Amino acid sequence: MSGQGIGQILVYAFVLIALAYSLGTYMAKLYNAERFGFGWLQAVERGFYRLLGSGSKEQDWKAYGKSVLIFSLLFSAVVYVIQRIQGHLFLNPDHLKGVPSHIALNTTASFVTNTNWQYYGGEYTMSYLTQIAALATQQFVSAGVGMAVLVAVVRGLARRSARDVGNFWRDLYRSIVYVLLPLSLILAVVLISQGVPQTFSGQVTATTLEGATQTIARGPVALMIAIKQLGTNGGGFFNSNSAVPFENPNGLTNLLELLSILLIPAAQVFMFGRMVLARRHAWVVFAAMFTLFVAGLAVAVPAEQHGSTVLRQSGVNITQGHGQSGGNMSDKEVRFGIANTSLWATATTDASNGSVDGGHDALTPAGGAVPLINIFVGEVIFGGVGSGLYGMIFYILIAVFVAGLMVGRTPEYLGKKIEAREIKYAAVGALFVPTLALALTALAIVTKSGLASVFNPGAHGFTEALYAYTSQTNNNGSAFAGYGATNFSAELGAVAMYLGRFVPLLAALAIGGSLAAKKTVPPSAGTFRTDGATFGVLLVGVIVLTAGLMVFPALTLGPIVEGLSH
Amino acid sequence: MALRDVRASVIAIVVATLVLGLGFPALATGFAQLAFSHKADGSLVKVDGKIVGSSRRSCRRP
Repeated sequence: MSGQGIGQILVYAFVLIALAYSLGTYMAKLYNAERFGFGWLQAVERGFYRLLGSGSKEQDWKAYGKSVLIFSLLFSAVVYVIQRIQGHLFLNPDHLKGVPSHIALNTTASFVTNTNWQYYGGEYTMSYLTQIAALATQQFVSAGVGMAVLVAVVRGLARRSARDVGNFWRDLYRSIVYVLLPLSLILAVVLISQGVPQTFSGQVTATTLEGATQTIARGPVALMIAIKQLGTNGGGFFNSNSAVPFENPNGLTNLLELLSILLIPAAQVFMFGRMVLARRHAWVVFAAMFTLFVAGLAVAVPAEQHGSTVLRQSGVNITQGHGQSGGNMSDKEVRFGIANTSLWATATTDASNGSVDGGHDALTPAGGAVPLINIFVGEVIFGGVGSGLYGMIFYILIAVFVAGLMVGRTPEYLGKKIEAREIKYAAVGALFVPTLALALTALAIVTKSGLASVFNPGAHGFTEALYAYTSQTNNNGSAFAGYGATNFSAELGAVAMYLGRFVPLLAALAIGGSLAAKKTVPPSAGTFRTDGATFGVLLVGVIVLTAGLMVFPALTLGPIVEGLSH
Repeated sequence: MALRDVRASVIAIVVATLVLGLGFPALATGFAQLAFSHKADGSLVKVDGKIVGSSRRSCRRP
């Protein structure tokens, strides 16, 4: 691995931490403030609540969850209908027909749940209207929903003897209007200045100098790419996502898009620390996430640089030097090389983003196992916007519980007693999704309709199926490629995404509600401290053990067999 | 209670689709066409008035 590659990764880490810290401080103020912004901004916000007719009165966790569910399900209907009837609607310069029903269903589930799994190629399936009004809208909204729910859970941890956890509409509004929208607009402007298209004109046909014809697809791309990255969505405008120059033209845009993947999830850890008045504890959680992130990089980057056995024995020169990057460059953009592609693959699967700037299917077995394991730990290594940290709270509670068992005391967290009820919710939150992923993978490889989706034989084909359902249940959306859309896989995927999103979401809200009602007890000599290195190590251990035990048998059948058999 | 949520959801869906789905993309496109019209249209390269491809900055190799 080159010094340049290491340098790029270090710069990335420093800039990320600095930006995330500032944004986290800002978000803590944003959600705590009774009124936010100046004059007319406040008026617009008040006007929005009045328009909704719901007011911004506080809700308990059940009412909050009900608003989330009703809003998300009704919005699903709109996203589905727009796709189906796009052929008759405006902003369709390339005259694309309505999206087939199973693809539309899967795509709806995918964007409403912040997954952005794509069983379609954007430029030849979705009209401009569908891209911006159905899909990109959902990229703002689903991210906003995740952020709102996290804030409600965090309030539950912060409050004492309270019933309510906040107002969904208020948290949603503030997440979108004061965080996602401004950041996206800034990023979009930079992307446009670097050559990402933003136009309503249709595709053009070019006759190249050699005389061949070439279709150049374009469209209102830049703003969608900005929110795709910032909202941990990942669903690109074009089929090849951020590997396409029109989504990601150069090194600068690659760095900015990479930073955007982890920015908000990382910032939320600092926001959490300020809102629960436990900033040291937040740093410990951040350190645990960062450690797992670096561990992924430490495997993926050298693995790609080293190449696979097949590649090394093939006679291809993969030595680094003389202007050559060396290593496994299959399905990688030469513009970005090994360090940047592996960094992206690690970050995008840590963060439940799922965008790619290279093909994951052609990663080496070890390099490809990293994204898979990252997704399997439940998207808590920073994770999705909102969902990452509330997912981490499940693991934190389990860690606190384990520590309590070891010292024989009722576990406490942030001054609150953790009892059977919270642990049950945390166990559901942490274990439901990996269990679902394994069950659906099993279903997909033992049924005939499931096997129709697998393109490659043997262990690699199994990895593709495992990746597909792991990615969808965890709401990541990155694809290994080589897994096909059939009616069966599209519908099963939709079920996977809805359950994978809303079951943990409700479990997290329930924890928030349950903890809000509790009194805080002052720490005593026997209290297990959650703001030191011991807790950090325990937390990483719990995550690795819980997720590792779930994923290891499946990994054995996939990447491990593949790695050993060549 | 649920009815109130339905009403609020429907209004929020309409507002979100109009503002986030159409308003801001239109604004971004307007800005792009004014400030970077060549790049925003896909950095098309023309020879004798005919389109022969697209040049993006990254395609320029040392």
